[in-house]
Amino acid sequence: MIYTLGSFSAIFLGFWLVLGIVFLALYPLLRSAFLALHPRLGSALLLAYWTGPFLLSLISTGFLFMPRVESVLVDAHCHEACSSHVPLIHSLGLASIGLAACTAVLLYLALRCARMLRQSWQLRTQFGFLAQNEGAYHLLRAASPLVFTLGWWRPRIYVSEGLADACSQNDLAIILRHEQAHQERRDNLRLLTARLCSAVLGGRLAGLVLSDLQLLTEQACDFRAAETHGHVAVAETLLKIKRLLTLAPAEVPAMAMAFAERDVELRIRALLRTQPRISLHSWQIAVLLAALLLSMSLLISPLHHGSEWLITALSGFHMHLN
Amino acid sequence: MIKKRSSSNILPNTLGELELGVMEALWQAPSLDAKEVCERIPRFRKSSLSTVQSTLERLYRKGLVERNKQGHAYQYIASVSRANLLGRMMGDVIHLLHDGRLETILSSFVNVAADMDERSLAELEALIARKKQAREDEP
Repeated sequence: MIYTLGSFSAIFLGFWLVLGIVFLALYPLLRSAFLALHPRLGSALLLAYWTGPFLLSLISTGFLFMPRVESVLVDAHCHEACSSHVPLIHSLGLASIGLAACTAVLLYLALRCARMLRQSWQLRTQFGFLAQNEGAYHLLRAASPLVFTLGWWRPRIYVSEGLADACSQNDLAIILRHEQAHQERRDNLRLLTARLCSAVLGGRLAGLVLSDLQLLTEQACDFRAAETHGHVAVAETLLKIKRLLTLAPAEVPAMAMAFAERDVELRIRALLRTQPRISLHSWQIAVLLAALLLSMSLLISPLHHGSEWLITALSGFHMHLN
Repeated sequence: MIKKRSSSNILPNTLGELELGVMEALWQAPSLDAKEVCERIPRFRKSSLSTVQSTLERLYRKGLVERNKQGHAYQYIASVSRANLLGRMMGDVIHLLHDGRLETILSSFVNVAADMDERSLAELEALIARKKQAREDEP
């Protein structure tokens, strides 16, 4: 059992890391294509792209260890006996290392997720207790201008009195439509998934992917609000709220000045662009999915042989060390 | 001795459900002793007198309540108003948004962390004005 679990863990983790690096390296080439799409589609595809290494690795490794699938997708070859087989590590030491490494990564993810869940619950409890339910949103009786959507599965919208007082009815309706879009799309959950599925990767490029995902997510909600209120009105409200926040310097510490400073500008420019963003028809999405499935099934055989080659090499090295 | 605040408490002004219940009771009356607080806590948060006493002690150490000894018991008074506490929490949220530590938990309409200079804001205003004008000029 330890040999199978260890082999599965090592292959899954290794493949996840390799795919993650490949997807990350390819991102600069694909970035402009993602940003040219309609933000609703762009954010969904970028999320799929970014969670792809984790999911592809999990599914492919799962297929690799299913004898029935393996016998169809892996070209016939023999080792000692010519029977259907899975790529198995035969060294207890290597299998244990694989299992321990995978367990450590999954445990780290689970702990990170639990910590964020606790933090989210704490915030929800406190704001839930202190806020006043106004139907579409919860009113926070505080002077700081702030509006946000809190929670993952059933998010709630919170609007501060400072913001509500400074806005016209139309501005507030636009803000609420934008926040309702976050609620409907469960954007906080999407961002959490993206962050957890890419936990093995770091660096500036990974940060860029996540920041693009956040930008497309915000734009998707801006465009949803624009369907009801018009693109110019949403752009005007965005600018108005930005000005309002700029006028409240006491609440804005200087340490954060460089962070995502072009976000609002990019969102306003996106709303005012004359040429429409690219959308895909459902048949085009179906073709994309079919291509993905086909490439995944074509990956199984090289993955099987690659894993066997790597296991042999590592076992030889391990024996040499002992 | 007061316990060190858990590192997973995201806001410096984090209060638990019972602490919030106790504060709510103190906001409703000028001053109360522990027994009276215990009686006024909503039924779904009901706790024993000793739990309420230790909660009051914690709130006192956090500087959220004041107390005066009257006879054998302490009389507690809320030293921060509901609006003040909410204001502190909102300040915490804004600071955490700046750090990027809340981005997977909540999404805000406009990134409060982002700074834009007056020139960029004015350029965007001009762009919006041109767009509005172009729409009005359309037949």
